Amino acid sequence: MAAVVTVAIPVLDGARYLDEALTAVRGQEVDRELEIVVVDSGSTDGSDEIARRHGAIVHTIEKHEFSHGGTRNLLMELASGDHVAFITQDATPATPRWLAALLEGFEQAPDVAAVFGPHEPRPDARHMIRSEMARHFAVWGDGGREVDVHRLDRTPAGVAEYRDFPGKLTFLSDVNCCIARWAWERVPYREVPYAEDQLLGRELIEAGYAKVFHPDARVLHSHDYPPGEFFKRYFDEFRSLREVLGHVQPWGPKTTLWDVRGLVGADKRWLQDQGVHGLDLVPALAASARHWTLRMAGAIVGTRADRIPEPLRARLSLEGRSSFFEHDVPGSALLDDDAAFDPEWPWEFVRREYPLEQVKMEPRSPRASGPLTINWVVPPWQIGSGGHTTIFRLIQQLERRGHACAVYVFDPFGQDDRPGHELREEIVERFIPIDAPVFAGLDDFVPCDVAFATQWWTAWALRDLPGCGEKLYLVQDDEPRFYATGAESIFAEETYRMGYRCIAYTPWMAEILVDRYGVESRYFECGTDLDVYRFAGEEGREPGLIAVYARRETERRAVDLALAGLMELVERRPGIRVVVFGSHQPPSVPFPAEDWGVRPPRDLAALYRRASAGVVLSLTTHSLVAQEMMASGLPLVELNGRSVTSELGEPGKLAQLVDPRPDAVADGLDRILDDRGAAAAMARRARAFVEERTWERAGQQIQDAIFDFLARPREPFATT
Amino acid sequence: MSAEPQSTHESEKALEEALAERNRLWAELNRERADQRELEYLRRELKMIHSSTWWKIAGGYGRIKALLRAGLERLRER
Repeated sequence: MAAVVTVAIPVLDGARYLDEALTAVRGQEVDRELEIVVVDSGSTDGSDEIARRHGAIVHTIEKHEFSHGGTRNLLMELASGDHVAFITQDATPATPRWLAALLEGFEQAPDVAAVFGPHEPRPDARHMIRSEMARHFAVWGDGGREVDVHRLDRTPAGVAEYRDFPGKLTFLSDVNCCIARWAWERVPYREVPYAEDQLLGRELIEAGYAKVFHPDARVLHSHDYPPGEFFKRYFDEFRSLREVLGHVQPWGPKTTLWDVRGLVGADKRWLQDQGVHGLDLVPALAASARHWTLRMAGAIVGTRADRIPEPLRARLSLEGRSSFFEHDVPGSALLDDDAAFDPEWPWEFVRREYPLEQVKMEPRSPRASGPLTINWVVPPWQIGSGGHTTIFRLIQQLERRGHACAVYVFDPFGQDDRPGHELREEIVERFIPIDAPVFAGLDDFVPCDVAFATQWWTAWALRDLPGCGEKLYLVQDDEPRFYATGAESIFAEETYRMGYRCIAYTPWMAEILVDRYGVESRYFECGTDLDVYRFAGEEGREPGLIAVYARRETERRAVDLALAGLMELVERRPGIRVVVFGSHQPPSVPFPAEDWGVRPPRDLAALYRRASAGVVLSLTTHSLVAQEMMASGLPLVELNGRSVTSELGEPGKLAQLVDPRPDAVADGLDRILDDRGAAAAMARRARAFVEERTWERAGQQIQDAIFDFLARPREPFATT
Repeated sequence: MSAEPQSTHESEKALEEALAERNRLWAELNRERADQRELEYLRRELKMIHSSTWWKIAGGYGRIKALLRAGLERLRER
């Protein structure tokens, strides 16, 4: 036996169109048994007879028992179909495929709870109604032409979009829709007198089900009234929206005028599309202006009907209803204006990548030579960022070796809204000239031989991007240690478990990746711009001038430890003069000092050639600034930790390496200031050390590491 | 006897050249895409400027000035 589909219609004195509507229903070409169920709430015009004539099951109720929600629940109960199509007594299926199209909507996905179709104006409808209907149903399905499946996207961006325009998802009109029985059993109509379809649409969508717009499921349905009655109809309609959904129409002279102007403008465009031009537009637009003004008035007054005396309410209503009753309908938590909700919650880019997976890459054949195409995903920067200077230097080096690069700036926190060409200009003018184009965001990401993540956020963003033969992670520092124990330290550390092969800055960082995380890792060592940071001997140095790298933005520079040490030194040696630099933040120094803020390299180079000692403290990988001071012949105080000694050797060889205590920092500076001969010898050794570490060498190390990785298949990744 | 190494060498050379050409095309495609984004950005900026109140005021002022100038010209011609 064929499955049953039901067409359900609530009826009250609907003889005008009911015969036409039921004839069209009976004429449907559908491969199921068709059942028609009518609930008549006391017709006196023979509607029940018409229905019976078309073979409908007619159930009669008292007029006072009728409510739009309750009666439709009754229709669902009376119907035997798994799918129940609702129309109203004045809606006529426009084609014999109407019902088939509604049923086709359920085939789009197993979670489709409801399908709806467009309403077409009847031939006598005026242009305002025609224009409005055309606009309304063009919201779905690419201008109303395609089948369109809607679901609620529960990401912050999706919910924000929903809150901006809920109707796009919630709209459901039981003038023309079809409900799946399984869905109704879980989410029935609310027992409300009006707006039951909007409520059902909202509840189905918010319960996580899909809803479908099908352009072929068309019905003829429109109302046309004289202007005064239009006002009354809108009064009724909007009073109901207030009673059931709590909607209050915003108004104000400017807002309302602007709204009316927009609607008239839309009618004008629609009329022009229909070939109405010139003076012919004038009467039509005058009618539009009157219609939309009355509609606005009906909406404004209707949603404030509670403030109007009952007798007046009855006179303003087309139904003659004088009541106003706010129904206790559960509100939508998603649409609650008072809800704590940040649509721009920045950690969504991490959240959506869980559960943790390995990097996705395309199959490729091993390769150990030839020019490569390389994408770099980088975070936004500030002028003076050492990490970015290194990245752009490496890009320049690889470009010089024939590789083609592109840079993608991944900015989940919205720190920089400039377009790609402006970002590129800044790289070229304020960092390093590169050929690579720069893109803001990842939308333009193209397939490449190798893609680099360059910081932990970018590792999350790059993980699943398609089209990459190999994905590598340029790890310049132990970033999880930048944070107090918390979400960020966890998110950062996870990136070491994604299966990226790493190229670390310094052997120390590579060791951490290998020993602690079991990651395949190579290393590179930064170069120094020896043309800018020229060597200067003792001559010309200002006794007692100390240059201190005080970049407060980076906690790992331990700025206050350095300043505490200098305070100790100031007490020991009152004659010293201190220059702090490297920070965009206002200085906080416990003794009078000169603040240089962020300066271009040439200014800093001049400072390094003039000062007698430099202080750079590195709690993790050692700073490029330290190398630049060493290149300039400036004797240096650094911290004595594995991250530094792995590069600079034992204390006193290339720099005074001190324990992380203020007195130890002061002692280190004392040694440099007291014994200038030893300090100068140390500075010469440091210069020789830096001279070996050129950017050409760093570029070669990166290229060797890339080809080494490309030549070998990936090792199974340890998941500890 | 030496034909094989020669052939390998030639193949490698051809491969290098093909890769270099592919890189050139890849870079060109990226540059074109970047130019396209810049163009889109500038169009958006221009649209924003044109729809700004200041532009409308200044644009209206410009049109009035042009009309007056045209009117004066006609008067002078008479």
